Amino acid sequence: MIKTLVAIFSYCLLLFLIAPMLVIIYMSFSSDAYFLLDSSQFSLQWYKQLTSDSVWLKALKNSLQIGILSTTLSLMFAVPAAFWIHQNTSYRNLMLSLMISPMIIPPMIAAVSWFFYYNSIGFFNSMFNLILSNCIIGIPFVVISVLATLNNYTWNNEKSSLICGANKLQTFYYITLPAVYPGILIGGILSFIASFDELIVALFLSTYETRTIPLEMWSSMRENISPVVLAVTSLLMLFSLISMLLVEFLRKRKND
Amino acid sequence: MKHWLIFPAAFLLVIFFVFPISTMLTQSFYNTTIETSLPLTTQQLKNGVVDYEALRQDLTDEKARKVINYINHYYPGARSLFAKTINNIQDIDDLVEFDSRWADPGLWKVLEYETHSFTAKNYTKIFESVDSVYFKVLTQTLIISLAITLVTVLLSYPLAYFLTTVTNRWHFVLIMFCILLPFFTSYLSRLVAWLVLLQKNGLINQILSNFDMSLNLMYNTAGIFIGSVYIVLPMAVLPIYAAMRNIDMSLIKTGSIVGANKYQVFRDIYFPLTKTGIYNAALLVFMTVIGFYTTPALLGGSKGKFITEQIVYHMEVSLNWGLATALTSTLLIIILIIFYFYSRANKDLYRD
Repeated sequence: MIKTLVAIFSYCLLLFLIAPMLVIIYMSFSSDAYFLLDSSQFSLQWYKQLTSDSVWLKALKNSLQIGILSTTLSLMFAVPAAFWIHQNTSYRNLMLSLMISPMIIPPMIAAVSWFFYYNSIGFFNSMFNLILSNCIIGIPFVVISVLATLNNYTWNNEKSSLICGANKLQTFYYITLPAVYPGILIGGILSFIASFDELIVALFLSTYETRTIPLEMWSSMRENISPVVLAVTSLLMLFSLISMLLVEFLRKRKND
Repeated sequence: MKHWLIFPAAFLLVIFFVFPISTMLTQSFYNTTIETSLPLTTQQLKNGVVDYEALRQDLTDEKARKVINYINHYYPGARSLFAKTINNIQDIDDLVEFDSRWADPGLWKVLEYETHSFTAKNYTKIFESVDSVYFKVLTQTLIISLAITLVTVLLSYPLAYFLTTVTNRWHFVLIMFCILLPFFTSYLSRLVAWLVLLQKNGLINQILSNFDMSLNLMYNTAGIFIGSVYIVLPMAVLPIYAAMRNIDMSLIKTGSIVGANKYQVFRDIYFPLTKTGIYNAALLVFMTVIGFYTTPALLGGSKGKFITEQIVYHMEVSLNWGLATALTSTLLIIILIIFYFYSRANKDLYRD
């Protein structure tokens, strides 16, 4: 009896979780500009409009540029840090807290601080500031996922490799890297998603030239929402779906 | 040990994360609006000199416009005076000659007061009384976030339990898909969905209109609730599910063997074992919701129910940066207190 109730309740909740996503995809193919159910027909016009809209294309270019560069930087900084945290006991907790603090502190607080900081040091190059800020936001994702891989890892293989005569670089390249790359990739994907979604920091640091996709979505949502946004959202969902499948695939691989 | 591994990351985070935030904290004790927009005048005022030439030079810079609305708060008429002067600044040699109001001691008193370096004024504005606007917004933020947390945890508990009972693999994958896809989708995309659904002429009201009904689901607290719960629900289900999966089922069996009924088994064995999961989920959700900006700004109406909305208002519209930083610092302290409890409960979270 209770079991059935729990099951019914859970299915309702799952419907609540997934239905809005399906509605968006459905509406993005509808011909009606005012989201009316009755009069709608299948149409690709919003997607067509999107591909020829210079504002969105520019935003996409900016978002990709910021996302790719900031993720690369996050990986460069965070992967060695994760190795260090894994091997050290002294100051370990302090350093771990430092590394994950950008995840705990809401972006609003960080964005306000950066706004004043970049102004006060007289260094205000919007694109560079955005990349640097997004890199910092991405660091915790990389540190946590690489640490999770390292925890399943024994260092015996490395020792054997060194004993057999490989040098440190060879050992790292042939033994360590293949073992931890799923963690690095997961961290990279998550940090890319985080920077691709970042709105609040862009709200404070963007200029007219460096507007990103979330910023364009936000201004469209605040005024009169155009169906083009639904097309953008559907494409973003496709992107989330792919990255989710990739992350879950890598997690499984890591655990095997 | 190879300490150089940690140096770059630690250095980066200290210089570009810890340091900016501490600067922001100290700035909340200073008035910075005038100092940033009128630097030369401020410097002269600090030396005790009223310098018209310095002010004239400051006004040639476009950023002086930022100060107009701010000063108008304290000195009515400043808006027109500043705007008029800045528009004609190229032709002006002497400010007092251009408009005698520039010589008004009242104006300079305001300017001088606003450039006083150390002040707790920003905080007294928030905490001066329980009726102050900002104190009300602060308590409102806390209460709404608390209520959202409660609702989210109550909803996710049965769902997490249901997940533990699913045995068919594909069934499980399908359910996980429904939970994880929203989790991986960006905040804004999820909000777009609710915007289209909840609007006055949105899908829900279109369907309801067939039954001659209509609901106000947006621009009020209900909107904030629906949007926020939707966003944080997956975040709460996962830790509770993790706690439930780790329960040793032989304990439950032992309970029923020694004669406890189902309700007693749940109350005395099952529920206490899931408490850490609930605690973790609740703190995580609370910490996230309290920093929300997009959801309340979009679905909560124009009144600014959340502290983050006030921060953005004072950063971008009223340009009262002192107050904005004070509000941000207050939010930071609340978050740090919650995180202290969270990390105490999860001491060994990343250890093994």
